[in-house]
Order: sequence, then structure tokens, then C-alpha cells
Amino acid sequence: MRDERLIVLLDAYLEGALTQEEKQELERMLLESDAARREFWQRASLHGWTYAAAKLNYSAKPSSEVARARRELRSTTFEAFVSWLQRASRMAWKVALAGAATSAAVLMWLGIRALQPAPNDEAVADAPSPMVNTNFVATLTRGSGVVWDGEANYVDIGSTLSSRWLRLKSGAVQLEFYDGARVILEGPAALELISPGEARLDYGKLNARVPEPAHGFKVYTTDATVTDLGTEFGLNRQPDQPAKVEVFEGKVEVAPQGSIPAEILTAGQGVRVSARQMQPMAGVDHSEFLSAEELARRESMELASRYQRWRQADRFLDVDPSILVHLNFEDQRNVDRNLVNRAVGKRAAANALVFGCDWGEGRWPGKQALEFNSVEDRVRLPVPGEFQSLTYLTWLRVDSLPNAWNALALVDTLKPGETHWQIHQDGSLELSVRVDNSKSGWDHLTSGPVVTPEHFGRWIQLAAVYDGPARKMSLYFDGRLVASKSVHKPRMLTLGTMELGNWTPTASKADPNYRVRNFHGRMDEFALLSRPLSADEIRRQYDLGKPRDTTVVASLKSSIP
Amino acid sequence: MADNPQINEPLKNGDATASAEKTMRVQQLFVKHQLALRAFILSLEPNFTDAEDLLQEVFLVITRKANEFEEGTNFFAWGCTIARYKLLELLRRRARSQALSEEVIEALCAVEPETTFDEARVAILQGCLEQLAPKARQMMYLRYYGEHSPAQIARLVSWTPNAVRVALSRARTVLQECLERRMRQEAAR
Repeated sequence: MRDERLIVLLDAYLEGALTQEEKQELERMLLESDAARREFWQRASLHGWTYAAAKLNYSAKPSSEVARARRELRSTTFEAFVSWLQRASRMAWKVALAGAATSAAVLMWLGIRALQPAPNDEAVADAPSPMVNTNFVATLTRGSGVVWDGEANYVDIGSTLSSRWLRLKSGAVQLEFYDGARVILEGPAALELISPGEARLDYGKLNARVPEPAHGFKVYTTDATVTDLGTEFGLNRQPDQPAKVEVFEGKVEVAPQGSIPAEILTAGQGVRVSARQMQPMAGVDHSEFLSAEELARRESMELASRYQRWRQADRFLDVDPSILVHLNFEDQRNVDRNLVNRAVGKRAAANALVFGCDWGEGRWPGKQALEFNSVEDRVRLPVPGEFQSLTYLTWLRVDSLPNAWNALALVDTLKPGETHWQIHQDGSLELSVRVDNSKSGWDHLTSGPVVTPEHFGRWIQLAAVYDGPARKMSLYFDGRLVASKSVHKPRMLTLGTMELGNWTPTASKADPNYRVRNFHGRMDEFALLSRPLSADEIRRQYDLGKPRDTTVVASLKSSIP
Repeated sequence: MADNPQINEPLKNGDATASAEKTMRVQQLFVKHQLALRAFILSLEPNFTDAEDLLQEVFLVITRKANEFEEGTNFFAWGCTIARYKLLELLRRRARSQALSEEVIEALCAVEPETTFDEARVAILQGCLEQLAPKARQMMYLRYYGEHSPAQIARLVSWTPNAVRVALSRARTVLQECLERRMRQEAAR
């Protein structure tokens, strides 16, 4: 049992936001109750540990990278090490350490400890780790006409990015840096995201708007360093030309690389800057740079036309001879508890019923989706009959994976042939068929972790196929095959009452962790077919349904060496 | 909590080299416990910059008093005591509206915070941070990675400061539950 009032006061204390009355109230509680003091340590030490977790990147990186960083660290120089330490923890350790005449060995150890995932060395470091990088720098929030330069440079709009290069062949994207700067980058361009407050422009055009807490946002180029002192500037660097810096609002410092002194530019001023000289420009031209409003307008037009194309093509799924269920959550009123099954044909199942759930936005603005939040939210529908083969297809947005198993489509017939499709907590997909009634009587296919945290909050396509005649089970993620295996003894599949996004086991299990399998996220399309879809068909469904037209072209040599 | 046994060699009297070596070993203990010490300090001084300054002062005191530390005893408890004195000293010098009273700090320090598997705790928390919903995760990163105050975050994301505080509070509760659950699982292994 947690004392709500105490939590409110403790959080205000941690944010430095207590009023005098609140502080007295908190102090009284802490003096009077031992339980309150324990709660204090739990909540307050979480503050410190979260700070450490957010700041330290060691276990957040793939273990091979940690091992490499550590090897590099061992061979690094003393100075480089001290500066690394300062960067890593933003501390003035140098002063403290110099004053204390600390040995290089201790310094070394400081850093090594900070990089280690565990005291136990190589064995741990080389073990596979499912963790992903938490050193996020920026989020790619918008895009229009985006073409990436080569497959290796492909990035989804909506992705959260750590330090990396962005290579844009054409089109434009909007980035929101974690320190607050909003940058619009127009292709062709190459930009390196360095930290939440720094980037490097190799070539291209960018327009940065920097709100007050983010002042100090820096963009490096070969010729100069541009530091925003608030609020908006443009930077254009084209091959074989001096970089242009134009200030539209507020102040910007331009520091050329050579021996020329830095200059502060104010609104309406611009310079052409190269390694050797800095020339004032006659004036600035805001219209040369794409505005956030224009980017948003172009993006919404592209999304609207993508949505229309999907709506037209999606109807073909309704009339597939093997379609059993097709829910696309379209043209429903928010009060409807009855979900229209659009499948046409003699095998089509009845309509589905919604329990709980809210309505939300789907893959595109205006597209409807069902939102699964609470442990009670679910969709139920009867799917009578026996099937040699089945194909599941869905578009969904996973918000988190709170349970050991998270339901996509589950049944609980307790009979051989019962089929489950779900996501494990680590993001791996599982399709399983009950073979007999023993505890181990399941035929499983499990993929590696694919729905990892960087995919949370984004629309993805998942598919699962049980192909009886070919004796094969397959799992797909965004149109790609991620796991398959052969089935030794195929059997007829039975579903009965199917639940989407949840599970109601017939036999009550003692362990609630085992029972609770609710899905957390949104679903905006679900289809079930009684035949195996081929890999090509699933890929086509993905291309048809993917939210954007973001594309990739083969990498060409950039015009800048 | 047992510390590295090899550091328990007897100290030869009047031996300057041995004394310097002991200082180094004590500094190494500091390094080993720095995550827990920082968490302890941040509990009593939630401001990141001030807490970092305090941690550095603690390092200096520990270096100066290394020879007073009895090797084999609880280093973390010793470090906490020094941190507490340093904090009280600071509060006497300059009164601060948000700081807890001396009496409350003493009462709190009678309950010792838990300090087992420090690094595992950080790794688990990183996993828990990843599991947060995108908005909650963004809030936590702005607060703890970016070190922005709720008011600054509010301006960044165009929310009211109160909405930010509520979001942070909810995210903390989710994190705390996630941490407790996974620590239990870890302990059960």
C-alpha cells in the first residue's frame, strides 16, 4: 500500500517544488512514521539511480561495443581519459582529482568501472544482450518526399535516434533534439547527430529553431562552428561553396576554424564563411529554407494520399476466397461495441464485439484504431470450424510489453489444435499450436526479439502463417520473414472464440502473472485467412499498408570528398 | 557487504609508501561505491549540480582521511556519514528553502538505504526506462539525461508544468514497480 499524499510530497521535493507548508507537512510525516521514512528512501534513491541509469551508457550498448570501448580505454592517454570522464559525467573531476594527487591507475579504474556492465569481465561482456542503446539524441518527427542514400541509411520517420549520420538523397525531415532544438534538414544532405545539443553538417541545408532552454545548440562544419544563442537560423553548405549562415531571429555566434575571430550575428544578418574568410551578406532570405509549417503541410498531403490508396486497395482483402475475418476499424462510430467484419463469403465469421478499449488514431491522420490500455480491454469474435492452414495479419502500434506474454490473438479451447499468437516481453513473436493435453504438448515457433523498444510507438505489420499441407510455420515482421520451421505432424487448427489483445483462460491459473496477457498499444487492422499467404503476398500487404512512402536509393558517391 | 579481500593487508606503521597505497585502495573503494553514494546524496540533495559538488567534496575528505578508515568495515556506511556531515555543513552555511531540516535528515539516516548489486540495479533501471511509454520515456530523459527542471520541460514540449510533474510522477511509479519486480526476479535466480 502506498500513501498517495506522501508520494505527491516526495515528488515535489525531488523536483524542488515544495511550498513551505508542503515542506512542513512532509517533514512531519517523515519524523512520525518509520514507513514514511522507508518510502522516502525508495522514492528518493530512485531519483539518484535513475540519474545514473540515464547518464551511464555502459549496459545500454551492445556488449561487443562495451568490450571494444573498454579495450580502447585501456590504451588511451591520460588527458584523453580525463576529458572522456568529464564528458561522460559532466563533472569537474579534474580539479578534485588533481587536488588529491590521484594516481592514473585510479582514474583508469574510475572510467573502466563506469563502462562495465558487471564486475565480472569478458564472459559477461561477450554474452548476448537484448538491451538497446539508451543514449538517444533526437527524434525524427516528420518527413516529406524522403529518399535515403542507400539501404544502410534507412531510418523510419518517428524513430528515436542515437548518435549517427543521416544521409538524405532528397526530400526533407524534421528532427527534435533532446535538448530542445528543432531542425529541418533538406536533401541532398549529410548531418551527423552528435549529442542532444550538437550536430555536424557535412553538406546540405538546415534550419534550426532553438527555444530558450536549448540555447547553446551547436552545428559544426568544416569551415566554422555555429552556436545558437536563440532563436532561429539557417545554415546552407553546398559543394565547393562557402557556407552561408543566416540569422532570422535572435543571435548566433559564428566561429570560423582558422585564425579569424568569432562574430555574433543578430536577426537579419548573414555571412559567407570559409576557412580563410568571413564575408557579410547583403541580407537574409528566409524563404530559401523550408519552414516547419510547409513541411507539415507537405507531409499531411502525402499521408492523406497514402491513406486513400490503402482504402481502395484494402477492399480486395474482403473478397479473398479464404478470408475469415477482416477488421479495419473504419467507418465505425466511437460508441459502437459491434465491430464490422468486412469479410465476404460463405466462410466469413460473424461480427466482433469490443470490451473496454478506446478509439484512437491509426496509421494515418483520420484512420481509426482501437486502443488497448487496461487489463480488461479486448475484442472477442467467434471463429467456428477446423482449418488445415491459417494466416494472421495485423497492423499495430506496440506501446510497451508489460507482460511475460502479450496477446495478439488467443483462444482457450484446451483441445489439440488450439492456436496462440503472441509477443514475449523481450519482443520475440510466438506462434504455437497445442498438440496434446500435456503441459509440454505444444508445437512452438519463436522468433528472436524483433519488437524491441525502438519500435514502440510506431506502426508495424506482423503476420503468422501455419501451412498444413507444406508442413510449415512462419512469422513475419514488416513484410520480412523472421522465423520459420517445419511442422513434424500437422494437425487441424481450431479457434472457437478468439480474443484479440487479451486472453480469458477457461481454467483459472493460480499465478496472476501467467494469466494476465493484455496487449498495450493500438490495432488498426486485423485479418485472418484460411489459407497460407506466400512471403510475396505478405510483402505486398506490407507495401500496401505501410504508413509512408519513405524510400531508399542505391548509394551514389557524394559530391563532397 | 564484503569488499575486496586483498586490500586487507596490515598497514606498516610509519611507512609512507604503505600509507599512499592505502589511500589508493580507499579511493578505489570510493569508485566502487560511487553509484550508491551518488544516489544517497541525491536523495538528500535532489539538485543534480549541487549533489555532484557534494560527491566531489566527499571524495576529497575520503582521500584526506583514508588512513582513518578501518579496512574490512563497511565503506558505504562510512561514505554516507561523511556525505551527511558535508551536507549539514553546507546547509548551515547557506540556508535553502527546499532542504529538509537537520532533525529530519538525522531521522532519515537512522534507516540505512539498501545498497546491494549497484550496477545490476542501473542495468535493470535502464531496461525499465526502455519499457516506458514513449511520452513517459521522453519526460524521464529530459529530466534525468537533459537535467531540465519540470518548468523547462513544460516549455520544451508545450505542456503545463503541472502536467509535466504528473507525468514524471507516474513514470517514477512505473519505474519503481518495474525495478522492484525485476530485483525480486534477480534475487530469486
